[in-house]
Amino acid sequence: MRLLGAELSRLVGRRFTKIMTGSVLLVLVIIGIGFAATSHHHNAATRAAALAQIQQIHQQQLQDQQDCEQQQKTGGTAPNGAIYPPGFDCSQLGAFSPTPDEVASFEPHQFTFRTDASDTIDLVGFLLVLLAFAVGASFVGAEWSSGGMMTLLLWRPRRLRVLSGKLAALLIGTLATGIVVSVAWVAGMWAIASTRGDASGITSGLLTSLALTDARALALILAAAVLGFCIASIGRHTATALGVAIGYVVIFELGARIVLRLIDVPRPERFFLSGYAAAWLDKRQLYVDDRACRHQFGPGSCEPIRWMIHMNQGAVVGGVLVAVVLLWTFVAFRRRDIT
Amino acid sequence: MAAVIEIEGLAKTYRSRRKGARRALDGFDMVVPAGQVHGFLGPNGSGKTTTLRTLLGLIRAGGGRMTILGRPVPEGLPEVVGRIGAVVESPQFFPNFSGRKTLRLLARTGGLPARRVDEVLEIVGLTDRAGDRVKGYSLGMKQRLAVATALLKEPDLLILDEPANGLDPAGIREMRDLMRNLVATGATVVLSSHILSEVQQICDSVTIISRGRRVAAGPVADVLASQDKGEYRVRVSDHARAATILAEAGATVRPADDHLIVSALTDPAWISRTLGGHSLWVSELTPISPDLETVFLQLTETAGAVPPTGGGGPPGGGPMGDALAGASKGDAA
Repeated sequence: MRLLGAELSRLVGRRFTKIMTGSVLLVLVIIGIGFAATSHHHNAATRAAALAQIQQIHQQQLQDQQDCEQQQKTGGTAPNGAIYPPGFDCSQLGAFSPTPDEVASFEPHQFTFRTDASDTIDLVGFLLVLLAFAVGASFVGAEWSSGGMMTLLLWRPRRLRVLSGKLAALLIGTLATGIVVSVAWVAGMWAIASTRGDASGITSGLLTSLALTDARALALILAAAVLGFCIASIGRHTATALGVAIGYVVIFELGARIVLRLIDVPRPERFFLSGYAAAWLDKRQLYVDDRACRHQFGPGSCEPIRWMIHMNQGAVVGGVLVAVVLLWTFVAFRRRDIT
Repeated sequence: MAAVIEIEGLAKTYRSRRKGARRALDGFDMVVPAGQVHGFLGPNGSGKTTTLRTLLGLIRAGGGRMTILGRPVPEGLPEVVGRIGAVVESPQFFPNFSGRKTLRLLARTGGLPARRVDEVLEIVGLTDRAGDRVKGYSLGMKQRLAVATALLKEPDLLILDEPANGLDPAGIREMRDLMRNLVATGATVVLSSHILSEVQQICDSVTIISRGRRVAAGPVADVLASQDKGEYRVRVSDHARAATILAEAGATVRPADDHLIVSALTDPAWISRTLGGHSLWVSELTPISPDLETVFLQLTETAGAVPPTGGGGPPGGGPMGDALAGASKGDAA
């Protein structure tokens, strides 16, 4: 417990931790302000304006329909300058009958807690994943490069306990930060929806769903912290973890994805971590593979392959990755010479 | 006298794919008696830091046996680590933490009371700057902070690797006094240093290492005496004639700028008597005693000239080196 307490103090007291956390919080505040600034309550006036706009569009479409019918009779070019193919069904031009949701889309943007909150949790999760990875890498990487790890081992010559203590402190700090930020974020989104958007339809089911999404995001954040910590520990430097992360994104997520598409490998997304992470976060990730239909024409001649990555698959892939990297880190730390 | 550190046949080989195998320690022996300041000397790359790191459980030994404060290393190290303070090479600290915070975190890790932090800050003379960030410290202040980390535990054994690095003369004197005070309280100090005059001044005993092997060990006076060739500086009015007379009488004589060096003697009065018998009167007769630097260079250069052969004894350490190492082993036993 003493070691854990000291490591927590060290984690919280580090300048890198403070600056990175402050930066992410600042970005979240700016995003929140952006949501608030662009959200407007829907009311009778905005609805009337939307309906007027729809009416105007509808009138234009009726005019287009008349022009179309005239062109179908006389041939040549329609008065509106369009050329419709022979036999064209002009009635579909004036068949515009918007649903209430479509009417709402003509109104100014309104932040709707019921439908938008879940997506914003994904956004917060993504930012916290980056933060956790960087802080995790720096927390142990700086100890290696500064000689702090050696000093620590001179005080506690039990290597696995020392590394476990550091990792536990990182996970506790990350989890606490994640929970506080998530709760504050959801509360902030609710406040924005209440004052400048739509906060209706909040049921216990919705809140449970948000809590589960948030829990999955927190698990992803913890996994990122572990990976950053472990890779930096194996490489004995913060830059190792950052280099591996950037290298993975550039070489695999971008480069290999292009190559796999060029050589027509079926369902290439299954080879990339991003798909499994997204599936874990959103419960499933649906993909449509239409490469088989590239040379098929006509309706119904080809059905694209639809497939998905389920969150359980995401959990397995992520869990195995974290377990392997953790094992590698602890075995290497136990055996290596501290020079 | 009980030994706080006993090392026997310590071996360590570093292996890398690019550079291949490099033998850092090759059957190294060392015994540090309790209650002394023990100097640990050797040229760069001779294996000093590897020895200290292996002793402190930071490096895995390739062979040999070690005990520290009576416990085997590395298995028994956790039992005694609370009594060992160590500074290995120049440790770095988080630059944005203050000196006090750095020490407090370590004290917390070791379960030590916070008041101990202020005590060691006072001991190393950092109280006034304890609240400043470490990145604003001079090299000497960082060195004091490093020593403070080692003193936090009120150690029975203090291991200091080049503690005088970056210290000004006043700081070096303070460090010397600090070590003396610690030894006066019953602690043992192992001091690795390149400042040989400092080591000669403060250490009770030394171990000299070269190419991963011990080339000399024992009390400082004994090590110095081992390299004493019985040389005397002789000044007379006629150097050439005196040299001839002494050589004919059986002495080994070497002319220098304005004097003669007569060696392999046990009784300097023989010189006076011999020259006086020829009406040559000695104006100066001074024994030439080697200092630690001379001894160090002699032993390590000689050792360096002969490549290690893989045996147990010192490589080319000369008869004196062998004798000393053997005597030391006997003491340890």
